[in-house]
Amino acid sequence: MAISQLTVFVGNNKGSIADITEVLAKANVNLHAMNVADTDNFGILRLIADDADRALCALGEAKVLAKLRKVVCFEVPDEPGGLSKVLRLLADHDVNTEYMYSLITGSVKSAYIVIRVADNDVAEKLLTEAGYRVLNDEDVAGV
Amino acid sequence: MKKYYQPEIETMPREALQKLQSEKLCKQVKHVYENVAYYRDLMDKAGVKPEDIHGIEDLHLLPFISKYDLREAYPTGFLAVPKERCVRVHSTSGTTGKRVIAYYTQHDIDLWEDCCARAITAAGADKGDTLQICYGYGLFTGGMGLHGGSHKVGCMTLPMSSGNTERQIQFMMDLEASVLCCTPSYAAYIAETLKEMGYTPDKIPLKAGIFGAEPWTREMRESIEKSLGIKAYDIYGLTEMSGPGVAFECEAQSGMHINEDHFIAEIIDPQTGEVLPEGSEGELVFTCLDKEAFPLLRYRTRDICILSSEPCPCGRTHIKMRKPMGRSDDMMIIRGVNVFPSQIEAVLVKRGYSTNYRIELDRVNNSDTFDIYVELTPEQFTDTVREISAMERFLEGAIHTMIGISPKVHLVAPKTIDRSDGKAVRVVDKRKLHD
Repeated sequence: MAISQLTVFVGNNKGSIADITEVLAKANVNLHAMNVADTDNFGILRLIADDADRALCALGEAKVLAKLRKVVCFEVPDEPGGLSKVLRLLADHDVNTEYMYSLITGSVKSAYIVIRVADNDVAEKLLTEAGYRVLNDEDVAGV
Repeated sequence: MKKYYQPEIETMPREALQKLQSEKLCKQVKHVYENVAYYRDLMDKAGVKPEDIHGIEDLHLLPFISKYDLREAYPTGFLAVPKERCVRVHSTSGTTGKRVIAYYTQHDIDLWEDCCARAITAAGADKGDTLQICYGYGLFTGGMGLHGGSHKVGCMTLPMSSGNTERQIQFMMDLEASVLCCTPSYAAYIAETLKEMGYTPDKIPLKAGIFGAEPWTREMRESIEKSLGIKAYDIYGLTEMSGPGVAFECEAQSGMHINEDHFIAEIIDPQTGEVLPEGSEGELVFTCLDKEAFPLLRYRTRDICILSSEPCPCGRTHIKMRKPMGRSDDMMIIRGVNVFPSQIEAVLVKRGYSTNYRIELDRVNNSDTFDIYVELTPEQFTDTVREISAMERFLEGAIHTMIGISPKVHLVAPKTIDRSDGKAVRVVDKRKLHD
């Protein structure tokens, strides 16, 4: 399953993220989540879009360096300790999360978490068996 | 297909060639002594008269000319004929100081274009070929030199000059250019653009390239040859001697034949000026043999290289020079270590990185900072900072192994380092060491 994340290279110059979001806005792409990792020289922008392929096309045409990568997305109860339980579960099973961020939704009961792990299948099997709902691209477009 | 442009000269037995050089040298020295006051003074100070020069064995008696002398004598001090006999000037870019103005009579242009014609023929081109020349036209010798040579061979000539890559590619495809002439860094850029546009090497009409005017590595040659599907030939020259074509590569691709009927090459110890035996590495020195307007004798090029007169499978008898390791002007001294940009380039190409890079040097708290900016290729881009940082550390290690000191490597987005239409700016030295 897993969901498609856009990974975009962001140069270290003024307005570079604005330039990227403008390209996506023009292509009528809606964003559900974003996360930026930064270094001295550049940033890596990670995006979950309603249509990853259309977004990738638009970025390619605008000569922006971008790639698709599959990441795991799952639902947790929006309550104290909701996240920590699942992270403990993953840690106990040696599933190392490289990075993590959350998805914007209209739901008040649930939160949606995106994680980047070495093996998506292993993580998804573990989460499903523990009773967590794991999302695919269509689910994300609907939340 | 013709193998040589001037077979009788290019394959002349060495003994006859040296006899020819000796005759020409005596005449050339006399011409310079009589017409160039600046050099006459140098000879007088050295106690040498034209009568002392009986042949090439006496060459070492003559004083050197350095870039310093050309600056001192700017703009007409080395002009050896009345101005009205000249038909053209060219000039160096002057990036390392005052420009050098080179003068040409029609005779000088002819011999220069012959040299370029030999290079073009050696790259496998003949009548019926289309040469795309994207060296700069104008004061820079690159464009007009190869242009003239291309006419002499009888090729269809596309005088593109540099820049406007989109137009270059359109002409290349629509007119089926077979030979590309430009700087190696521009060739690499064209190759990259063609790849982006979806052209595979078999769809590119080129069969050969003649690349020069800046140092490049064997690794870069292999990468250009593969991506354009061509054979890439090196060409060497300098405005002070005439321009491109002082030396050129043949199909053996193992060094460049120096046009010895027009230029004598020597290798000297750059510190002492002593002439070194064949096979030694040292500074390349050139003497013109039959120039009229701007005949420099024993000009120190500052290029570090090695000569070899071993027989070449191509049948040419003229001595070969190895690709210069770098101009001694290009050599950087970083934390006391001598470093050539070509060494850095070799590491980058070997590891699959872009040949578009920039070295920045600065001095902070009396110690040199050494930063290298390298473009990421789309294939190398990944979604984690950890992996990109690991690539940077790996390159730092590989460069340290090569040169003995560690740079700080920064991977940057594709196409963010200025592209070279003419000569690449590889090094930005912000250290102020002489104020």
